[in-house]
Order: sequence, then structure tokens, then C-alpha cells
Amino acid sequence: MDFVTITKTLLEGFGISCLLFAGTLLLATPLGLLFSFCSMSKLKVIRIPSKIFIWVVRGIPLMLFIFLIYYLPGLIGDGNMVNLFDKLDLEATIASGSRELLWYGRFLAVLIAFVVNYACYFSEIFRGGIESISQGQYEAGYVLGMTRTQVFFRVVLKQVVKRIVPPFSNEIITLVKDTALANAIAIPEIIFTAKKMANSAALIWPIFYSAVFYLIFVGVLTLVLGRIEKRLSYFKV
Amino acid sequence: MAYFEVNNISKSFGKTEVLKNIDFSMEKGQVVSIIGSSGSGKTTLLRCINFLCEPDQGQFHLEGELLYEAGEKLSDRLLRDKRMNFGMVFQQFNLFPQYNVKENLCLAPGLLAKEKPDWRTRKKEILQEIAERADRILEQVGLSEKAAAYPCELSGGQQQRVAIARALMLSPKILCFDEPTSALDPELTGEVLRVLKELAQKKITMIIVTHEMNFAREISDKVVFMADGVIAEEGDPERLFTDPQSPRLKAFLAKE
Repeated sequence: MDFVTITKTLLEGFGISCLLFAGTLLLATPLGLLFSFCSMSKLKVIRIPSKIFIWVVRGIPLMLFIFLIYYLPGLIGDGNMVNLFDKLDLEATIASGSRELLWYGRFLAVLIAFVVNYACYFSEIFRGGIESISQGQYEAGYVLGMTRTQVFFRVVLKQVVKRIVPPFSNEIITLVKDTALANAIAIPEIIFTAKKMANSAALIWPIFYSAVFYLIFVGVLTLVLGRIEKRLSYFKV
Repeated sequence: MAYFEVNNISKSFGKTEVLKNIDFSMEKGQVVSIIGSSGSGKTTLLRCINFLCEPDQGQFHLEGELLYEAGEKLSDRLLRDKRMNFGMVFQQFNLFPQYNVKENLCLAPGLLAKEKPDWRTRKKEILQEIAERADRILEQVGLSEKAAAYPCELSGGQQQRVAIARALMLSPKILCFDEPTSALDPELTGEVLRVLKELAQKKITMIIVTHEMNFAREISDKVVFMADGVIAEEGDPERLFTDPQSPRLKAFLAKE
């Protein structure tokens, strides 16, 4: 296998990593905002369960959480241990006539695990950001006749965004690299692809080479996030 | 009946009684200063008047009508309507940092205008009117040239003047000030007090919580002295400062 072929194959795998990254970011952000509101709720019946939920999810290793989501639907129900996600993949493979086992079902399992896990981390970042805005900002809005919704969206939100960009950046850089965990249930992301190459073609260097893809992606991400931070630097919170 | 009346207002935080049966009244166009040491309940009273804090008992009457009675459950909308009779200037200014000076002034009036029935047809004119009003008020507080500046680019005194301008935008019936100069360096208090004096000359009804005794004496039609949650003494400023009757006011003025 030559360098170009290996690069292409790895790039294919990295595409799947990126898909997982984008899907998680897109879905975990609103879900995280919802979780943060729940964990700040005045109602105990909402606040306490959400705090416990966040504690449990953040307390479990992400890899274990992936296994949990992957195996759990097969264990409950009629108890005949059929793995729901494998079943999806099997059916899709048969239906499409593909010679290789498809991975969409397993991808769904990983995506669910990632979204829930990251929503919990995000929610704590959001909560910290929201709670760091002084009560005076809310009160100033109220005495000017603004509604709660207006105060949140017109006054508080942008200040929260400014506050959370640095910790949020950290978290999504971690997310980029965490996508490698998807190889635990044989999603053909970049590490899985590189390992397969190591086994089949007895090549070890593609595994190390895969780091370059992560580095470039994280580099671009850092630049973009730095830009956002700079655009918000015209005011102080 | 007086223009604005506070009747029998009490408020506790846990076991601490912060306000105990507060009664006072004021006329339209008057300036009432509330003085007293920290922890005497001045700020809490002002916050109750602005519906930022719910009194445990008592009433407010405005223009001869019952405005609020403690225990009354208000919908968000009604609460807002009642609250908007008052304006509030905070000790910490509380400007919106992401908006420039003029945007700080125009934000709330713009949002309120959206609820008006003629918003759709007269949108441009309404926004134009708001912008012109903001220009006039900024001129009044001497900050015309700072219209495009962000709060972080202004001195404390300038920020507080913007906060006053922002409160004036909605023409509240009574404008309240919570220690408007306490967060300022001594050399910056003058410019804020000057604005307050001009407002007093324009007969804007104001309640001012302050530690500036000379200022309170000069500007007020009436001074209210609070101590431990009660009004220990109130009356004409000259009389109050030259001939205090209650021992607590005597002690307070001696310390100042």
C-alpha cells in the first residue's frame, strides 16, 4: 500500500470521526442547555433528578457508557439478548446486499452515548456561565420593563457566550479526540481503520500517521474558536 | 392623598426583620432622600418599591390608587406594568456591557414599542423617535459624544450618567436611586450629583438612597432617616440636619 492510498483510506475513516464530532456538537449543545436549565430549576423534582443524572453520566467512563447504550436495549425487553443496533446493521446489510457489515446502527449507539455524555459536560459549562452573570443585569432589564425571555436572550446570553467560549473550546477539542472511542464497537473511524491496516498489511506507521489528521483538525478548530473569542472581545463582562 | 404612599411595609429575610412597618409619603415633583447606616433597610425598601423584592405586608398607593398590596399574586405582565411606574438607577450601574451607550438607552424602549398596535405600520418612525429621544437625553446628561462608546470604555461617573439616561428613556413617574455615587471614586461623584440636581430642578419625582449628607440636605424636599428597619425620623432637611430629635439620628450625624 502506498502513501496516497493509505492517506485516502485514513481520510475516509476520519470522515466518520468528523461525522460523529459534528453530530455530537450539534445535538449535545441544545440538549446541554436544556440540562443546564433543569439543573438550575427552582423545582426540586426537576433539579435533583437532573443533578443525579449528570453525576452518573459524568462519573462513568465514556467507553463504558458506549457499551451500556450498545448492549442495554438487548438486555431489557424480551430478554433474548438480541442486540438492537446489531440487528439494525444486519437488516440494513442484507437489504442493501452489501458484502461488508454496515455500521449505521452501531453509529447510532455511539452517537447517543456521545450526545448524552457531552450534553452533561456542556450543561455544567452553561450552568457556570449563566450563574456567573450578576443578578444586577437581570434586575436592570426587569426595571426597564423587559420580560424574562427578553432579558435572557437580549442581555444575558451574549455575556454567557463570551464567558463560556474558553471552557467550551476545551471541551470540544476533547470531543474531537474522544471520537476515537467509537472503535470500541467497531465503527470504522480513523483509529479503527489504521488498526485494521496494521493487522492486514502489517503496517504500524499509519496508526501514528493518523495523529496528523487530528492535529490539523484541532488546529483549524483552535483558529476558529480564537476568532470567535476575538469577536467578543469588544466588551467586558 | 399624597402622590405616592408607602403604607406599613414589612419585610423579613429568614428571621431578620429588615423593614418594620414603614410608612412614608411624597408629593409629585418632590425629592425624598433616604439616609441611614448600612443595614438599616434603605436599599431593601427601594427594591420593594421597584418590585425586585416582595414585601411581607403593606401597600403602595400611587396617584391616590392602590398600586400593590403584599400577598397579591401578580402575573408577569401585570408585575411589569406596575413596575414600570418606577425607574431604578443601581449602585453598580448595571449597564449592558455588549451594547454601546445609545443601544443601552434604546434597547428596552424598542422592545416595548414592538407591543404597540402601530408597530407594524410605523416601525421606522417609532425607532427614529426613540433614537432622537436618546440623543436628547444623552445631551441632557452631557454624554452626546459617547453615544457609540461601550460601557467598558467609560469612567464610573460616565457609566452612572448613562444608567440615569437609560432610566429616563421610559419617563417613569418616580425615579429611584440606590446609592448612585457609592461605587464611584470621590472625584467622580460630582458629575453624577450635578445631573441629579438638574433633574430635581426639572421637578422629576425622585427617591434617593444616599450617603452624601450635604447633597441630601441641599437637594431634598424631605429626608427620611432609617435605622434598624424603621423610620427613626423624617422631615424637612434643614430641620433634620440642624436639629435632630431622635438619639439615633444625633449619633448617626455625629459619625458623619
